[in-house]
Amino acid sequence: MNKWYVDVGPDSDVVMSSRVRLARNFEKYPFPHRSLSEHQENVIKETCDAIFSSNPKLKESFTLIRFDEISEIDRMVLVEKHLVSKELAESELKTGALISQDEQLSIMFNEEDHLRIQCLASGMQLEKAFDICNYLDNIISEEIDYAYDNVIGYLTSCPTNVGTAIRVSVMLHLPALTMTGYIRSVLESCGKLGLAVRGLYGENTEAYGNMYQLSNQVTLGKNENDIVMSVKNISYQIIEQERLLRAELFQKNNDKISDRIMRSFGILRYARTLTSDEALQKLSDIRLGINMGLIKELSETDVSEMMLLIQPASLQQYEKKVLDPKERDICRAKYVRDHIERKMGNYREKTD
Amino acid sequence: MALCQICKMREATVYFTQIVNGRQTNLFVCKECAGTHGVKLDLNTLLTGLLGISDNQDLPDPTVTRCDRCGMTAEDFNRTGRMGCSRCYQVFHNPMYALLTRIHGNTRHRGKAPKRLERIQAVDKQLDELKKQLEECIRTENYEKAAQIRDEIRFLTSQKGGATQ
Repeated sequence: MNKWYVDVGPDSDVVMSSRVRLARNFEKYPFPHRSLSEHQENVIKETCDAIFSSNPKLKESFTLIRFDEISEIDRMVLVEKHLVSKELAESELKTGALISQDEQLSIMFNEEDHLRIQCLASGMQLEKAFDICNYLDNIISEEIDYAYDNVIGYLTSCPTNVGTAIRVSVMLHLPALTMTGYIRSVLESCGKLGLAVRGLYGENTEAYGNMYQLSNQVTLGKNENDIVMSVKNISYQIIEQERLLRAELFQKNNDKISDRIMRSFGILRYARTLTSDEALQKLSDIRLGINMGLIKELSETDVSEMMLLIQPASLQQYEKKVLDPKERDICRAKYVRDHIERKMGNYREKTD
Repeated sequence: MALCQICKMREATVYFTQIVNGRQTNLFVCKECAGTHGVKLDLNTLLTGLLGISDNQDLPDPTVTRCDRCGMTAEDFNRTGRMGCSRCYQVFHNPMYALLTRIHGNTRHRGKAPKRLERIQAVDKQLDELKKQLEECIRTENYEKAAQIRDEIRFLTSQKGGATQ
């Protein structure tokens, strides 16, 4: 079955992925950090029972992963794929995740809340991601009494999630806004509009491949649909600005920008060592080159696949051995070289 | 002039953004506080400042400082920034509503409800209505109708019992 990230979603020239997650807790158990390990076990078991009893076929499309049964590298791979959070992978509690075959849907067990139902989709597909989460949430809530209050809604471990307990986010690729420095004012306005912005992994937003994650902060007082629409609408304003700026850059500074992109392409094709930062930065350039029709041999999907695999744990899983950072830089460069070479070969065959 | 959100005395001049566990918090603080708290500031200190949960006057019963179900204390919350269980939200009702207002600007959930709960609540509403009608029938001595309503109430109650099990 194809993984979600090999699909090309709507507005993929700027939107890398959409994500929706719902936080849910059992009424009968204390929240994970104050619960007993038998409670934590029960959370996993009862949720799986609830889902599979509703539709036994679902059993075939999900895998239950228990974190005490897999290696640290395998756990970190799930983090790098954004299937589970770093906190979950590092937790001391009885944790695990139920993950769909296409890796689109995951339920994290005993993270900050008993359940975190999450759906990922490529490009701008927030409504679809919400519908899928909602479907699964409804199935579970037929069997399990959630911690819910008629006035303030779903109760969560942290008060910042109370209410709808929904987090709606999009990952945007904004090289033109970043290059020109306009990103600062964009980020500022996002803050004023109640959206949080962060980089691919955290604080240092500029260094990581010009990728920014936008998400809602407020979860109480608006319904799920309004929250989805507000993130979507604000995103589209940013997407439009990014597109205009790209066009302008290519019109006014074509030589300079094309040079930068093709140099990055050269580095990725021939470099013998690559750090994650450098690889991400160059892959970001390549993605822009593909969007602007400068690079025809590769697709957005190729870039997404490489961005995923160059990460430390994924790379070690791919190589099937533990690697120190220096060895990783060498393997990363080799993987990227080979991958690009293969794709270019395919392209030549097709065009001949 | 905006006041510093930490000392609440000096003018706030520094916009402080922090990301903890992927959650972003914004603070508008003065230079002095930014300097002294800069490294130590985290979501929890922020929440503590916001919640003022140790202020017993805000609690429904001033002697209650501990959740009677999971044992969480106001101090625990101040330390971790996390509630212990669903019951905590009732025990610390007043300061929690104040905190929710400050975080979300709202205390009224307008989103979806759990499916089964929604159904049970719909039945409850129907039962209330029928009970009112029953009283009215008895008052007006319309016993035939009353018996009909009584059967309907019995049926709905038995169904509801099934739904909650």
